Amino acid sequence: MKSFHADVDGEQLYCNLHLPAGRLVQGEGIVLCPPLGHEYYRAYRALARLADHLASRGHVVARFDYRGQGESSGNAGGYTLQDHVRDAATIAAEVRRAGSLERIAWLGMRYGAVVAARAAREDADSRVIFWEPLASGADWLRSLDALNRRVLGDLDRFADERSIGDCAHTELVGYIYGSTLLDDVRGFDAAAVDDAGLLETRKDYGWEDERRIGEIIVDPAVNRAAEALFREAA
Amino acid sequence: MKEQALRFGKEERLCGILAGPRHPGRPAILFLSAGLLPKSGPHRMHTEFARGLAEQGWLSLRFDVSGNGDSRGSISREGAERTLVNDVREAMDAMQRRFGIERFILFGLCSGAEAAHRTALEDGRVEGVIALDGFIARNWLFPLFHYLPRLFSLRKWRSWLAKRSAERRQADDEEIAFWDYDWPSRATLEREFTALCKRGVRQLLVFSGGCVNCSYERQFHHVFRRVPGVRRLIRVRYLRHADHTYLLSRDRTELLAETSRWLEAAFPLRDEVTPEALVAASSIFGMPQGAPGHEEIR
Repeated sequence: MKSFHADVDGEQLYCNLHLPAGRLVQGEGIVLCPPLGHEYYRAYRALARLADHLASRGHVVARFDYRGQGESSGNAGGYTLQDHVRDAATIAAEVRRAGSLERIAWLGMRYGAVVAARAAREDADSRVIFWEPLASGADWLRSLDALNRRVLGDLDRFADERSIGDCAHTELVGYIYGSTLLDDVRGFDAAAVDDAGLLETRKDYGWEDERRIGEIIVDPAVNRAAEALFREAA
Repeated sequence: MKEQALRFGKEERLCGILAGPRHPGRPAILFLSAGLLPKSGPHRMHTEFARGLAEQGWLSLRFDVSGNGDSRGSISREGAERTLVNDVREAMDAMQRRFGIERFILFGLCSGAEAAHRTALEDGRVEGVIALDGFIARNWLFPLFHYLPRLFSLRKWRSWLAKRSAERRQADDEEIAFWDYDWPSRATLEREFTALCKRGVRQLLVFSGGCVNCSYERQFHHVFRRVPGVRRLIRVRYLRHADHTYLLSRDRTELLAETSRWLEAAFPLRDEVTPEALVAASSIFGMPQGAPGHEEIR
């Protein structure tokens, strides 16, 4: 695995490239488009495990942090959906270069599904796969806001109840989201995305449960499901 | 500000991000993983802190311990504590070999705080510890401040019962369960804090309102009052309004300000630093790289 920063628009994108070890490289590189905010932290381990697994099956797989997130440069709140789509495209170029590959599969989780769908639209030789996508951007924003309020009132987390007034502008469940980005997401509808593959899971990840916002997702069955999905495609 | 991704340690299994200028008069700060969270820390706290402190002239490395985040390897159920300490020492070895840094301050939350404490006990290069919700012992005053306000709150009881259920569900996952290990006794902790104080290790211990073992600011100093030099070497803050992971950005801002003030006071710049040494140290990011942005240190 290679860990590095890729440059785009004067920003540094943190990326981990998972390369096949001594096996034939499959003809399709994979870019994992992660969730945002606390959902990303919950999924980080599962995404790393998934990337490892797919690389062990011969794929070149990239994980990355959007600008303003994780280990990439910038402060959260300053970027748009289109910025994140450009980030994904930059990482796809790294994948293509690393494996001398033509085709890309965008695997988007939660908010990453929005990015993946948009990236696939701008890249003719690619396809998109969803894992726990936002069914609807507007519903996600509503549930995130409700979740934030429940978290602030969770007396097992805080000694005394906190209020919305304690949050920074557009701070939701511990992370700041850009207003423009939230507007961009609002119109997303997963059902309207044609030809998206779906990575099915039997687990309930409890996205809307305030007691599980710190719970790390562990779901090895997803690795096998993804392997089968990519094998079928090959 | 420029940062650098590093892979280091045995078989290059550990992964970290180097941030900030190197100042030879100052120790480097290592941010240790908090539980199973990646190196950017809860709510990106480590990244924000590393960048904030870099602007004030502090060099830091935030990294994932074995089997966590972007690091390889694994932690066995028996060896969780040992593995964490070994990883921190490997990070210090790498920083020392590559950059000649011999003094370190360890920053950790929860299991990271515990690993910082344990590493400091056995490695003389550790001169400072910043521990969030780390080791402390309860005393007779603890229940007065902790349980009494909760006893008559129905919402608190409901909350507690629901939390127990969530914890049971998470413990069923084998990958998660290894983090459970025994908490040292009060006598053991007293011996350990005494050893650290005798060595002159400076500590900032911050307890949040979400810490289950601390319920008031002076608790630590009450419990460990017999430790020689405890008040001089160990600063304690109790941020009752904050939760265990500093979910709110305003709480993180307060914590960063507290951390920054303490660092400046506990580790003032040494007078003997020459301009030549500063120039040599500032070339830390000018090293040749093997791949774009990819740096290996062994």
